[in-house]
Amino acid sequence: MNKKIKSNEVLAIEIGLITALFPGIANTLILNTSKNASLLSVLIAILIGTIPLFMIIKISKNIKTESLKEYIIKKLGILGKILNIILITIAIFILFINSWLIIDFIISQFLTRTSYYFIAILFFTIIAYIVNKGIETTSRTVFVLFILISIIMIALWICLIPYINLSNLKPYIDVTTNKIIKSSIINTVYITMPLIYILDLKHITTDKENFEKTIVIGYITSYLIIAIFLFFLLSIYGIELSTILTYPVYALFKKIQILGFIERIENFAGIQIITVFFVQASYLIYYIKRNLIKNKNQKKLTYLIALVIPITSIFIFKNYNLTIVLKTSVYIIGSIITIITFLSIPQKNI
Amino acid sequence: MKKIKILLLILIIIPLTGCNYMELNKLAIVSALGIDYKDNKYEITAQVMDIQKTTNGDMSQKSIIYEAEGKTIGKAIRNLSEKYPKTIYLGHLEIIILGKEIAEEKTNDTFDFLIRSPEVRSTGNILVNKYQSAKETLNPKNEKENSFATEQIKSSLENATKRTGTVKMITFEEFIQEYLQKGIDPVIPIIRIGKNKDETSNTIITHLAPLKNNKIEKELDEKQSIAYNTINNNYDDIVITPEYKNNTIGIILYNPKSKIKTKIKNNKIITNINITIEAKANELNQKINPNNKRTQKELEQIIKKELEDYIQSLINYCKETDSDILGLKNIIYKNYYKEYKNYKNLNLYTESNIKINIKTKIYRSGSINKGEF
Repeated sequence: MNKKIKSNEVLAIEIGLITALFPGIANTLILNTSKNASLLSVLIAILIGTIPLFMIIKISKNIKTESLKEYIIKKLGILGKILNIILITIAIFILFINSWLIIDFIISQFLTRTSYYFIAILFFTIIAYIVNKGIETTSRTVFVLFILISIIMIALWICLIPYINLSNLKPYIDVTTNKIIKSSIINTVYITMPLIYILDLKHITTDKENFEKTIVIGYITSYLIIAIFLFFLLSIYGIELSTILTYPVYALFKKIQILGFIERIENFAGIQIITVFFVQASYLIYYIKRNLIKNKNQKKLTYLIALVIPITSIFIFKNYNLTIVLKTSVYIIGSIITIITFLSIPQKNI
Repeated sequence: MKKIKILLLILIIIPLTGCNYMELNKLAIVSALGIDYKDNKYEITAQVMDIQKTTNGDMSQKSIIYEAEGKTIGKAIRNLSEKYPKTIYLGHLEIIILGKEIAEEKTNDTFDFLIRSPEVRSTGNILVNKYQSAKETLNPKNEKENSFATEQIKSSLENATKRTGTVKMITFEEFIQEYLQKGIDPVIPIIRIGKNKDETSNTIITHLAPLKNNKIEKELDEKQSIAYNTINNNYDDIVITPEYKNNTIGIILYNPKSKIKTKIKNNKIITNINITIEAKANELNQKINPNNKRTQKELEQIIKKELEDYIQSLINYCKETDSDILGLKNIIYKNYYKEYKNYKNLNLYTESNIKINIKTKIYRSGSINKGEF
C-alpha cells in the first residue's frame, strides 16, 4: 500500500472527530444533565473511558497490515460483516445528525437568509472533492486546519481568562449522583465512540509502533479541550445561562474584547466550530466511501453520498421533531459500539 | 478539465460573497432601541445612525428616529420596514431602554425576545425608565433628526458608574446572567427625563432599581446606590460629603475592595460585609491638617460612619421591599446548597445578623497639606 499518513495527521483526525460532536449537541446534553457538576462528570468520564480505550488499544495492537473492516471480518467471519455494516450505518447516522447541526448553526448565526440546501451543497461538495483526492490529501488538509484552529483556540482561551468568575462554579455539585454518572457515560460515549473509526488508519500509518500512543494522546487532548470549554462556560456564564443558549460556546466568543477595541470577533472565532466539523465529516465520508463503494464510479458515488446525507438530514429535521432521537441515540450507539469493540478484542486478551 | 474545475471554483466564490450581502446605505444601523407597551401593543423606537458625506468631503453623523408598533417586539421591529425604506440592523445595538409599562409587567417577554434573537447584540447596555416611555427618553424633543441620544446616554452612564457610584453600567447579557441565577434580584440603572429651568428636557441617569418577579421595584436613593456599588466594587473613585466639626467636607473614595461572607451557624445566618477602601481629602474647608495622626483617625471614623449609614440604608431597603439585591440567598445557594431550600423564601436581611466591617485609610490631602481656608 503506497498511501501513508503520519502520526500527527492521525492525531489531528482523532481530535477533530471527537471534539466535533461537542459544540452542537454533547455540550448541551452534558450541561443539562449534570449542571455545575459537569466538570466532575468529565473527570469521572476520563476514568470510565479508560475501559473502552484499553479495548481499542488491544484491538489496535492486533491490527497489522489489514484495515479495520478486514480485521473484523477475519476475526468474526459473517458476524464481522454484519458489524461492519453497523459501523458504516453509525458513521452515516453521526454525519446525518452533525450535518444538520452545523448547517443549522451556520444559517442561524451567520447566513440567516441563505438556503439550508445551498450551504449543504457547497460545504459537502468541497468535502467530497478532498476525499476523492485520497486519504493523504484529506489527512494533510486536516492537519493544516488543525494547526490553524489550535492557534485560534489557544488565543481565544487567553482572551477569555479575564471574564472568569470562579464563584459561578458553585455549588460544585448541584445534581444527584445518578445524573453525574449519566453525564459521565454520555461524555465517555461521545469521546470513545469515534476511536474505533481511527483504527481504520493504522494499516496506512507510517509510524505503526506509536499508533496506540497517538490514540492515547488524542484521547487525553480531546478531554482537555472539552473540559477547558466547559470550565469557561460554567465560570463565565454560569450554569443557568449556559443551558438556555443553543450554541453556548459561540455565544462565549461574543464576549471577547482585545485591548479594548478589537471586538465582535465571534464570527472569526466560530470558524473553529465549523472546522472541527469539516474534519469529522471529511474522515467519516472517507470511511463510508472506502468501506461501501467498490467500483469504477467511486468518485461520483462519493459526491452522491456526501450530498445525499446532509440533504436528507435537512429535509427530515425540517419536517420532523427529532429531539428525542438526539437525546437517546447516544446510549444506543454507545452500547452498539461497545459490543462491537468487545467482540473484536482478541480472545486471549479478554 | 482543469479549466472547467477552475471555472467551477470561481463560480462557487461568487455566491459566497452574496449570501447575506447588503449595501451599507440600505441598512438602518440601530444604535439605541426603546421598547414600550401600550394598549396591548409593543411600541418600538429605534435610533438609527445616519452617516453621510458632506459637500466638503467630511463625514457627518446624525441620527434618525424610527417608530413602529406590533403585537410582539419582533413584529413591531419588522413593522418599521413598512414605514422606512431601510432594513433594520440590530448588530450594533449599544443601548436598550425599557419604558414604564415594560418595567411594570412585561420584562420577561422583552428579555425573551432580546436573548432569543441572534440579530440583537447582547453586549448593549440596558436601562429602564420607570417614569416615562422609552420613546420620550430616546427622543425627548420629539424631533425626527439630529437628536443623537445614544452617545450622550452611554457616556453619562459610563461617567456616572465610574465617578459618582450611583449607577452601574450593565450589558444586557450580564443582566440576564444575574437574573437567571438563584437567590439574587439584579439591579438595573434608571433613566428619566427631567426638566431644565428653561423648561427644556434633559435626560438624567439617576440610580438603580432591582428587578423582582417580572417587575422593576422602587428605585434606590443615592446613598443606597453608592452602598450597592461599594459592596460590589463597581466604581473608580467617588465623592462623599460627610459632616466634620459642623462643616460639610468632601472625601474621595477609591479602589473599593469588598466581599460579603455569609455563614450558617446553628441554623442562624451570619453575614459579614467586609470593605477595604482608600480615601483622600477633596474639600476640608477648615484649618486642619489632614496629615496629623489624630485628624486622620477622626476623618477615618467619619468615613466609616458615613459608609455604614449608606449600607444600613441599603439593608433597610432590602428589608422593606424583600429584594435580595446583594444576593445573600445566592451565597447560601452556592455555599450551602442543601440548606438553600430552608432559606429561599425568607427575607435574609431581617433574619440574618449582618455585620459591617469597614477598613479605610486616608493618606492623601490633595495639592495642599494644610487647611488654610
